[in-house]
Amino acid sequence: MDIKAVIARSSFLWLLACVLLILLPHISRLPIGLLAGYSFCLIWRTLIHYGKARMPRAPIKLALIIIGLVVIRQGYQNLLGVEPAAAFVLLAFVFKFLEAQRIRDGLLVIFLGYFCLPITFLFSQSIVMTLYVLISLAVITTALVKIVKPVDQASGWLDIKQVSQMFLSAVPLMLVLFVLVPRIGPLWSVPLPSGHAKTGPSDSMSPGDIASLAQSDELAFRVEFEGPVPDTKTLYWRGLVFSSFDGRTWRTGSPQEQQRRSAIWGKKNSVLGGPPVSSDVQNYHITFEPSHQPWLYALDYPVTSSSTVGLTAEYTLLAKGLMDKRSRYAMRSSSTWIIDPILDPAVRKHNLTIPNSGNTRAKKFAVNRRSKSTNDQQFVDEILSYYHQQPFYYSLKPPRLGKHSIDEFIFETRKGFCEHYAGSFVFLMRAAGIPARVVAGYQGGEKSSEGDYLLVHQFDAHAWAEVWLPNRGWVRVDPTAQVAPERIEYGIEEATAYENSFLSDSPFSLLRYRNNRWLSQLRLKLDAIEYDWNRWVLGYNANRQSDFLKNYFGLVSSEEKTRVLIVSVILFLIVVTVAFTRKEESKKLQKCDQLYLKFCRLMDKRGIARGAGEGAKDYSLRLIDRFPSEANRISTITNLYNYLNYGPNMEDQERKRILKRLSNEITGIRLSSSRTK
Amino acid sequence: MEPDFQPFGLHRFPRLKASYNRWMNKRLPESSEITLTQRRIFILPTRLGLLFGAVLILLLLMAINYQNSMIFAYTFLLASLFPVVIIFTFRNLSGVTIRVSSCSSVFVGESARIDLTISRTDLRQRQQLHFRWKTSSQVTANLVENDQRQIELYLPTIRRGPLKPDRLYLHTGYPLGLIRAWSWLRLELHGLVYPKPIEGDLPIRGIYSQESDARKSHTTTDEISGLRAYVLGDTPKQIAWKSYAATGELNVKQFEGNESEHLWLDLDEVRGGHLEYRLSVLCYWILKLEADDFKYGLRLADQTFELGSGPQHRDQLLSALALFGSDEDAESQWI
Repeated sequence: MDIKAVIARSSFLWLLACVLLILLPHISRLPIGLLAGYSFCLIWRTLIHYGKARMPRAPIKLALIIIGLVVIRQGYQNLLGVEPAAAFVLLAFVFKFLEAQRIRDGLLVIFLGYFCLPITFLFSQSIVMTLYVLISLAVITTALVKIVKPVDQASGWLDIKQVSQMFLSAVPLMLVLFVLVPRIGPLWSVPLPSGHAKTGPSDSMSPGDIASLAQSDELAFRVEFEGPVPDTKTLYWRGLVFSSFDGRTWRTGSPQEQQRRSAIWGKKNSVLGGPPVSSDVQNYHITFEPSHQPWLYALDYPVTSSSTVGLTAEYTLLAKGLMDKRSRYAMRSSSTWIIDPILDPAVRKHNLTIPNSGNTRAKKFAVNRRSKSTNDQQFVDEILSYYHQQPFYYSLKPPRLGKHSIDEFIFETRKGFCEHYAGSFVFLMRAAGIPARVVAGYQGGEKSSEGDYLLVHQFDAHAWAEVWLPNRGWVRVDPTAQVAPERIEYGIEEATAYENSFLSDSPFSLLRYRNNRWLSQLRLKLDAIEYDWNRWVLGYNANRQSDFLKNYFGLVSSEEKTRVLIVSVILFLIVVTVAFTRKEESKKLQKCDQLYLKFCRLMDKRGIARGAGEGAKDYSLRLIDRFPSEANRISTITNLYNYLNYGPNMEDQERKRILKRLSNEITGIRLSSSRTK
Repeated sequence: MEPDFQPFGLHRFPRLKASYNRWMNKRLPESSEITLTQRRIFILPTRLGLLFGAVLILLLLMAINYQNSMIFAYTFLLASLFPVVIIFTFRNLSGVTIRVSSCSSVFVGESARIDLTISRTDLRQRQQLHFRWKTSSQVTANLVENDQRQIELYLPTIRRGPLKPDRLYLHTGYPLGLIRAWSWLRLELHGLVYPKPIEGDLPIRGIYSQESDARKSHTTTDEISGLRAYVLGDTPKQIAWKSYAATGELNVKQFEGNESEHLWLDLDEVRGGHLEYRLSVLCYWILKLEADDFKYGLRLADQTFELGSGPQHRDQLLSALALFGSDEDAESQWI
């Protein structure tokens, strides 16, 4: 191979296909300027291919590099992240492609391509993306074959067949390596993909926040219960506690850092005393989708913590950092656990605070109602029945609220989403002197098709209230349940059915069509596959590996594992060598022999079998004797066959043409024989 | 990527080189038909293969640092591809048969045309089989639809003697170019390299010189059977001067009888120069006399070739020139 030769024209298109396939998954992530730059380079190179432009000269190349770097600098605030690094590598790749003229450059493009292709896995590792990468890998490898060949004589399919055959043969060894090669921790710390939209409830809640979350069909997390999945209406996934109110927005009581410091970080799934295992204790595992937020979710009330999952004083869970990767944690909750039986005075004061000004009507209403009730519990019930009796509506599209948001909501608009009900309820409680706070998280979930795990989506986001009652500690109260009991019973879709607003922003979401049984089945099947994929393939880390090898193969010591690895690799090599180097004579006949044998079978059916060791010529004479009407055809077939077998060398094209003719003649014979019958 | 005709800089170590050559010759004996088997095929990664390895290491680092399962899987898939490519490259070469179908004899300085028949012992497709001698240009053959194929190689010659080039280098990188499988073929060629024809005086024993008187008289009294147009190099003694005076055409007398006995080309008669030069002059005259329909013989030291004419006779004499002084059994001196 002469690496200084110019890339063949037919190879160029393959190269272009590689570049496009590698860039495609990044399109939505790249800044528009960079995207324009990449396209510019690709178009330029294609124009060069068609003779409409010239190769860039050195100063132009330099200018392009500088412009590219400036665009990357402008497009990303933080140059140390993964995205700018990926953009930079892709830039180098595209530039190399632009100046690829000789085979040597083409080879470099291919090898850079091998490196650039899996970058997309840093952003998505879904099954679809994996298939995409596999197809692209086959295309890149075919392009390599095309470039390495100085002149393309054989057809493209042969090479694609060869490449696919090679990849299929490599898969068993890949699986062995994937399972057995020891997974070591990162050698140095690298920035993880960031800049994603944060999902799930945030650290503050204004009217409309959760309603907008409820328009998203993204998955929040999956839950596997040890034991049956409980009734969904009892499932309150608490995430954040909002105890500060400024008249419009609810915020967490203390800053995150402080919460993290005061949280309990267990050694390894340590249990905080609590009731012994009984019927009201749930053990479960949560597989959490990346939210890029620090908080985690648990059923009311979490009682364990671990070194990575901390339990705060408000019985919420906090991670050490942002949840940028899919992760899994085990949790235990107790529904009868009494939290804060004695309320710290400072906490009590904080949970009674409401802004001095504004919402006077609501304050008066609360004080008035409280004075008529005998105790706090009765007051709570009365307010709840107020929500129930008055014409309140549960709506994903509530009217906008003004300055006195609580007053306006309770006495005028009366249309709201859970945060309106929870917020106004807590306000009324505090105004009446009962410590209360808002809890945000998710409520309910969807059982998987097999019913063995639960899916919690963003639209399951919910906000409810907690009031502190003497001797009972913090008690969960959900005012939304008074207004829209179906929200708690069946989920948000039922609750908003009357206004048809569920997922109205995403018309193509499969979740919108939950009522269609077939679609629903399909969606849940897909999710089950994805769940297994995430759990077994993507989540296959060092821990999972050691568990897997121990449970399924009984391998514990690393020496054993190494031995199995080596033996498997050697076995693979032996099998592949034997499979691919044995002679294939017996298996496959030459094409022309196949055709001739077909002809012989046809004639056999018509009564004249070819004798053992009878030459084609002799046989044809016998045949012509018997079927004089087809003498022409028979002798043509015999001649063509002999010509193919014993004639001079011929070009592949010529050979194909003659084979085609032979095949046509035999078809003619077959047709005429079926006619005579 | 130059093929390593002398691997590991062997030329610097003559004794090592000699034993290497002996080993190679034993492993790869000379033959006019060679089927490539495991014994004959060598295989090593190319520079591209090493680059591929470097990419794999980078990918593995990326997988480890990002703890990304799919990048692990991708890296392992590419790594697993490597042994598969070795086998695919090997089997692209193994089972190929090379036969010398013809080989021309040429004069020193010309390129000998060698026709090879490439065939396969099975039905697998073969692509990108490259053939070349150290000094020839490269020829590529594919066996896809056809079971056999003819290729022509042109081998420049620099030395008189039997055509015994160094080993024919047959290599392939198909399919990915990451691995090169190759073999050295010692093909038995039956071609000869004749001396390069160089013009000089006709190297025959002079008609009157050194011959017996009887012969002299015999010659002069021979009947002239006819005239022939003068060709450069004809002895002036035979020119028909009378006829020239009459017609102005320079003709040469042709004699009947044993006159051609006198066209004995003789190595010893070539004046000056070293052996190769003298053989070259003889070569020139053999061609010349054959073209002019003379009968001619040749004396080469102790060898004598009877008078005769015709292409066969000519080739016999040229072969004698080509082989003169060479030891048939000697190993090729070009290795």
